[in-house]
Amino acid sequence: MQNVKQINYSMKKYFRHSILLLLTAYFFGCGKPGPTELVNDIPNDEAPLQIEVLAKNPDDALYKGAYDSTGLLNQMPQAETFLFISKNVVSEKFLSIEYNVAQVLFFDRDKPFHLPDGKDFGFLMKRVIPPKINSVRTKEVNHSIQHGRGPSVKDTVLGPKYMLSRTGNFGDSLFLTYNTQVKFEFRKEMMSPPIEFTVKMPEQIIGKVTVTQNSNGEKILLLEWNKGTNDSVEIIIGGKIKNEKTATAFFKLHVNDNGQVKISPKLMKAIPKDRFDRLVFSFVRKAITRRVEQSLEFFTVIQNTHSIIIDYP
Amino acid sequence: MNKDFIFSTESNPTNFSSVKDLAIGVLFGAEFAPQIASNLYALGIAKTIGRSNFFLRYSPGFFKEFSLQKNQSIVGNDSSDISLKTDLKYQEYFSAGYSYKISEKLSGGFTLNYFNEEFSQDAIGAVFSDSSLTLIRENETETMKLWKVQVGTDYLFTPSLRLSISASNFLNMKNGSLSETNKAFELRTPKNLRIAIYSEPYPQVEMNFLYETKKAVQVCVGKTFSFDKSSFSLDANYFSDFSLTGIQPSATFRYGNICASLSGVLYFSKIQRTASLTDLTSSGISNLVNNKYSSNKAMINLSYLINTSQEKLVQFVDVVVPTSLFPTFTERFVDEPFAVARVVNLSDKPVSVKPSSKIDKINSELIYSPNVVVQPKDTASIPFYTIVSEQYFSSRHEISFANFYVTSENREADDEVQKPLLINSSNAWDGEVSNLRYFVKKDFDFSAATAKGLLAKHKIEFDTVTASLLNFLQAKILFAEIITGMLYIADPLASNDRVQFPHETIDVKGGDCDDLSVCLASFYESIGIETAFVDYKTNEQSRHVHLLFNTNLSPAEAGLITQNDKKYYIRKNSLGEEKIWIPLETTERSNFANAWEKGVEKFSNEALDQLGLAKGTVQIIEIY
Repeated sequence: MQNVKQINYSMKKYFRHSILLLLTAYFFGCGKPGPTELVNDIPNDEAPLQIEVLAKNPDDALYKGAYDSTGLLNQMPQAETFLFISKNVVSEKFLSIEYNVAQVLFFDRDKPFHLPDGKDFGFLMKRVIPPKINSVRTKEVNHSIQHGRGPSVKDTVLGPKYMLSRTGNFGDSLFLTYNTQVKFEFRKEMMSPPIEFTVKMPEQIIGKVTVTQNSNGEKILLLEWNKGTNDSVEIIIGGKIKNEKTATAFFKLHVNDNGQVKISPKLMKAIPKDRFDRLVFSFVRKAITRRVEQSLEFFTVIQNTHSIIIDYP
Repeated sequence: MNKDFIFSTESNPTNFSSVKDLAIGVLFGAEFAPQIASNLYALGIAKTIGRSNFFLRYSPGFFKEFSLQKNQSIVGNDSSDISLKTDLKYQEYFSAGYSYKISEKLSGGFTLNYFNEEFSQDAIGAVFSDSSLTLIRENETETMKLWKVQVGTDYLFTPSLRLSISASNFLNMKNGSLSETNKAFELRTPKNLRIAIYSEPYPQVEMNFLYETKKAVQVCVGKTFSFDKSSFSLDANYFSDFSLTGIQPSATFRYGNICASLSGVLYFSKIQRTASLTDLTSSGISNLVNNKYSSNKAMINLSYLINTSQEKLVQFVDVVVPTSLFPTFTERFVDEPFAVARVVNLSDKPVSVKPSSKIDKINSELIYSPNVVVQPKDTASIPFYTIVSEQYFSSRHEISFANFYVTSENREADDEVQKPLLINSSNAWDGEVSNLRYFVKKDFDFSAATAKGLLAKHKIEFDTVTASLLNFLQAKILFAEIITGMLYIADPLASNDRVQFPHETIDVKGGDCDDLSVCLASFYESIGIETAFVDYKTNEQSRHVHLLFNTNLSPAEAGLITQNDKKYYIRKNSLGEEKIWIPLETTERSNFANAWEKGVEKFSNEALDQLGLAKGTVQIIEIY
């Protein structure tokens, strides 16, 4: 009987010590070391990349009509004047077409424009003395946008804009050359001194789209271009809607101007093949400047683009 | 070795175990990264069953994580920038070990470590619907489960020299698949052979050396200081794989079953706060706790050893017991050990041994003898004492067993031995006259009562005699009352083997010389008359004994009893006073005077004239 009592006492003692150990473990076991920071020092492993959505609502006519291969999108800059000059090449299979466009928009900051859903879009345009691009007087045309979906698509004229355009050997006398200066002239009033300045057309960008596979056998798109001296280039990914000539811009990629970027399979797979039978990749090398001339704020974009249209891989 | 059992699978791939029964332990760690973090490293349990040892460890603190911020980001709907990243997580969830002791020198075992590797890569994805297009951060996670197997054997050349050989990563098992990208991050498991020598070149000094074919070495030096119930040890472990070098000092305190260890890891190599992706993909990591991205750390290890089957610290070498035991010699057992054992200390520390014994039919419980401290690995002689009850009596010889126990710090005896033993009858005597005293004392109560009764009848004589003659008169009366008229009866067995107790001599009204001397001495001593035996050893075949008693008269008073100065013997008492002693030949039963005369005659002749006292053939033996 005495032995049984001794064993019981011992077991209780061991049990108490065990509980003490476990409680100690519980109370002191907090806070674990953080991860060790890995530094990517592998050259050409992954290009720096920033991606944003352009067509937040792809079915909205606002986005369908906005991407016309010029790279001009509906989002307007927050400036009184927007000067946009673009030298473009569009390639599809074995054909390439070149067209140049230049347009100037003067915003009436007293007349904001809201989309039917209440969102701010920008400002209505105002009429001015047509400016000159490379000494060629621009033409006044209406700047209109489409918005809405399906049967409720609406056309809205925002006002006049001033433009020149040339496709191949046809159109206005707008001759743009890579790495050369483009002259802009404008008078606020007939008798006022002219506003003159030049902007330099960036070096040419030539893109290439290759379909390859990753180690898991998934299709990836390798986008390559000729390296330039710019810090970055933009690549706009869009889709051609079946049976329609218009394209929708989905994403804009900001990448270092180092000549290469891979598009992840997940991103490509997200674009529904049943709705977009062709994809458009626009390589954009641009120069953006802001300037104030005679109290007038100019937002200037001068760019050259190379758009490549491929069948959905 | 118990102190680091929780690190068993790292430091002990063969699961060689010194855990006697059950051990549980908990390990905390603090890492001195830019932000100090402490957490529970591991909980472990080890159990020995027979020759098998089992080990299980849960290790939530054995992990390593890396994080890579990619140069890629998503611009959200609210224009916020959402960065993409890659996370690499390595975790050892638990490990298990098993070993089997094939013989006292050879054992074999294996350990298993279960790892989970998780690599998650952020990727850009998009959700395309009729009404919206949204970019999302998608996470692609791949996992790999790994069972790392280590197997090996240990050989004990001596208790202080062990060789351990093991192989690892030859039989690993994996479950999962990784992309080419993530394969580069996979935990490295190079095939490896490991040779380790564990030695104790000097007592309580430990020196270990370890070499691995994957080019890693370890050298460990330690010293243990042992105290009564505790020990304290200091160790230093130098390790190097030629890219990562460091030292692990530790201090361990053990008290009873509890062991606490404080250790640290100090790296000599420059600690890398950030990791190069090129380096990680080319070299990888193979150890989650010690790698070139580890920070200096401190650890506390608490172990608790439960020994329901205790450790044997001491063991009998032999036990020397007498061929027989004389139970009447009670006081002799208190002064002299009845058996002597040689005991060896098997441990590495001094052990205080508590000896105990129990003789069947003699002792009803364990009789403890004084503790003896035995030095480590040393052998010592340990005396065993016993106690025989005054009430014990047996008229015949009996075969019995003596059980001997040695107990150290354990609750139960470390070792026990049983030896057969002949217990003589209570009347047995070994022939040594000095041992007759035990028979004298045995019946003191009887003798005192009887003597007083007999003397009471002679009260008138005592009232008229001179006080100094009181002893003499009492002796004379008692002789007349007891011895006169008795028969001389030889022993029924051998003459030297048996002595009657006084009451038996009275009962049978006779006895031989030692019976009668014992009987008379008992009566005399019971009333305060000092006595001594005279042992005549002149004849080996038949020795003789008679009595001397102290008259308590001074030499000047000798004339009160005799004018013949040859009829008494002068001896000094403990105070240095000379007293007259008279020899009595107890076998001369006719009367006191004749017995005195015969005693004087024999004593004068053999003890004095023949120089027996000087030669040692005659010896006077005090009762007290």
